Amino acid sequence: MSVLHPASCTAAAVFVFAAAAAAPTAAPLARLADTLASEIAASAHGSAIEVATPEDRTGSGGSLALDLASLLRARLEGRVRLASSGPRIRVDSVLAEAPGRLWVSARLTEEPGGRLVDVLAAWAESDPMLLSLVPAGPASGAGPLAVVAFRRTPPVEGRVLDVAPVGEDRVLVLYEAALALYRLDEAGLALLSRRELPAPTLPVRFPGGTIFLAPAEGAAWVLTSRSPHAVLFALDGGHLEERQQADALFWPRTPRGLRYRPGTNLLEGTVADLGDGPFLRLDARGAALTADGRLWVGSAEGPRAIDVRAGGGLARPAPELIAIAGGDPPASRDAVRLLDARDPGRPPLQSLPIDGAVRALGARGTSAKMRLVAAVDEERGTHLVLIDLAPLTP
Amino acid sequence: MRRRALCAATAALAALGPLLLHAALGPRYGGELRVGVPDMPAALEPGSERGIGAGLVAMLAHETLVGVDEAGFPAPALAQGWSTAAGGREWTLRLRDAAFHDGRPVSAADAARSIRRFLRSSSFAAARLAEGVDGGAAFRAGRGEELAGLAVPDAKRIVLRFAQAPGLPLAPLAATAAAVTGPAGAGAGPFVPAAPVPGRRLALTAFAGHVGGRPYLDRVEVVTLPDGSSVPSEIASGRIDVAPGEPGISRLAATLLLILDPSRPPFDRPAARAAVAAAIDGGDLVRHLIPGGDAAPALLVPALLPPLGLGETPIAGRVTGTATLAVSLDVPPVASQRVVAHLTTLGLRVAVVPSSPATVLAAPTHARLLMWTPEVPEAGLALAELAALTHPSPATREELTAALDETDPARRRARLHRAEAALRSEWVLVPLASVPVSYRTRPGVHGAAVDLGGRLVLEDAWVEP
Repeated sequence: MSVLHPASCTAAAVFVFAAAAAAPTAAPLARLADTLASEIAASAHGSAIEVATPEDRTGSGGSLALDLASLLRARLEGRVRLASSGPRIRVDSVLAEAPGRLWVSARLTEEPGGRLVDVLAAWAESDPMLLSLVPAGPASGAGPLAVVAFRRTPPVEGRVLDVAPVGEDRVLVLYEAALALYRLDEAGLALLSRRELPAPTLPVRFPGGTIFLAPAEGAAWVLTSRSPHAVLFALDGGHLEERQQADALFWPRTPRGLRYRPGTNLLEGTVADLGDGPFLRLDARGAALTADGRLWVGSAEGPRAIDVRAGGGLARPAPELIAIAGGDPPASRDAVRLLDARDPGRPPLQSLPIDGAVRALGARGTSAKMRLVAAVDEERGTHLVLIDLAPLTP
Repeated sequence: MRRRALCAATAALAALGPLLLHAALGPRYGGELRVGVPDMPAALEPGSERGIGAGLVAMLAHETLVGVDEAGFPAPALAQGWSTAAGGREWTLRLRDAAFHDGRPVSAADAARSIRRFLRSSSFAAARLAEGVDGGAAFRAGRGEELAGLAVPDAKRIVLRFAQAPGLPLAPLAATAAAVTGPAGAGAGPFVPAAPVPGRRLALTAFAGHVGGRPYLDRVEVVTLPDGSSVPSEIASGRIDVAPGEPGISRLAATLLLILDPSRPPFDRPAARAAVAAAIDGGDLVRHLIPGGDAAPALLVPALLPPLGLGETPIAGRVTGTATLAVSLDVPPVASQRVVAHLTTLGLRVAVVPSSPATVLAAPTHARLLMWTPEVPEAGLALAELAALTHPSPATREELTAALDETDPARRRARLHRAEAALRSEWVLVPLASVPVSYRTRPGVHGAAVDLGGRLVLEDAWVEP
């Protein structure tokens, strides 16, 4: 613990490292509440305490902040007197997150009067084996699909290049230098296996990466523009097992495979019905995003350019649906747009707003049930977003 | 622990900041930019000239061993990292696997040769490095070829030895004049220069082997603009995409600085200089004539050294006589006219001598008015560079030396505040305002930035399709 005394005011700032003190098995939010409660109790000096609901900057839509406030009040009960009127110390806080940790910063003020008494900050390490999922609920957007669940993880460590749901409850995540397999359960995405990609990693300012999941979902080819070789991994009982390396990425109807144009995120290769590229993204069923962010669909006559502008994600949640990331210029919000695969040039069937910029999209499903996984960049890092969809009318 | 706590606080506060804008569409590889500049360098050698065009071309074509991060600390560039020994007097830099534009690998021998070239250049940062490196002063003065303080133990490491442990000894290597070049002069920057039309145009293409990765743009073309007033029409017509001016990208990176010559009357009297400092209302300039400026009377822009309000308050007075004032052409005319008006109100008869930004510092006038940006955007080096423009008193020199030699970051910052106040209180350097450096961009250009040295950075620029 360290105490700072700004010259300009009498407040002290106390910074507490919760991870060192708390039980490693407790959930990060509970450990954060433990630590902050202890510090509040120490600063209260017998005064009554009012805990305001923290401002939530985690993107959880406020649910984490509500949980923290509840945990905090529970831990303060019996140690201090809780009050919402009369002379008291009010705790106003902000909950935020960074890759691998949760943060809370709190301001303690004397009420009535508003005199600053103390400033506290605490953080708790996340469980490295678990990416917790919290509801994150933007509006689903008008359309034929209902959003059954919309959840997001905290920021992950490193940049995510591609994602792919596997089976009912697994997700493959391609990082810049590794492939990871997660299992989806009630708590979140639990890491099952992680394998590093072949070295040396090459410098690329904005790297690309692609997962090709074999039809039986028992193996996946992966390639990034930072790695010199494509790798085939077997998904064997929850473990990733490297089986083979190749100079190019296997891709259907692409005799020589796909390679990244050196130093870029652009794929090159001669794909039947789609041409030579370069491509930003490819879909195994015959759609592609070109280097300038246009959607192409394959046909016997060659690629057909669709008047749709897209960002960095392309996926198929169902045979008749194409999902693309929004193609708007830089902004703090993006969207996943769902297009009718039979006529993708028509206006989107539905648009799902997302905070941040969608960098990669993966999907699997049928007409009755779909799951979208998105890697979304925002200020605090890259989150994984899981969206479960179902038709509004069966 | 205290530093750890500060880092923790910084991270916590950063988490509370406004959301950054993210590109849904990009960044995108491909495309090109045409950049208009008022002046073009005559040569491509690193650090051979100063000015907007020379600074831009140097940033595009060359790469240094280290950079300076936003907090003012040296950051890896061609050097992937460094270690110290001998109580901070010996610094070993490890090079990344990198290549020059001609395909040759960047070696420690290239880095050492480039440092030797740098030490004999006109760069202020080079002079500062030479003062500290063993044998550096004699080498810089040309008194021999021996440079004991520079060694190359193997192909990937160079060692710098200093007479005493300095604070931030690697910062001078972030100067563009310190860029590493190959035996034939090839650079290692993000773009490969090609097809120059001397004084008018230079085309550069993306360098796939750049240490930071290939830049997004395929091509950048730098062209000379006939004059600043043509920028809006040139951008509207699509002939250029980026040029100095507003609106566009902007950063508080320059100081509007009045330099008084203390060796010539009437400014040989400290009271007269203080009267000038008291007479010019920086707040008035910012409010009415320098949109986006900061009126705090500080020699460095707030991002380099936040103003603390230290130092003496100048005493108003009257100054009579005649003074010549060299005015750099990049000072907004309305601001220079207001400064002249203030000086006239004091009782001075002022004759204005228009000067180019490249020559204003050497103008033989009683006073000089210019937009000043540091060669290396690090507070200590920047203050030392300013001090070199004057002849500070022994007490001020002592304050500055103590700050530059301080190795503890927090104590260094505190000492720099005192040194800045001491330098300012001699009233030779009169800061009038911190001023934004701005570049107008056409719609659809993203990722271009202005660094703390006021230079346009296009390494991460990209364009919408």
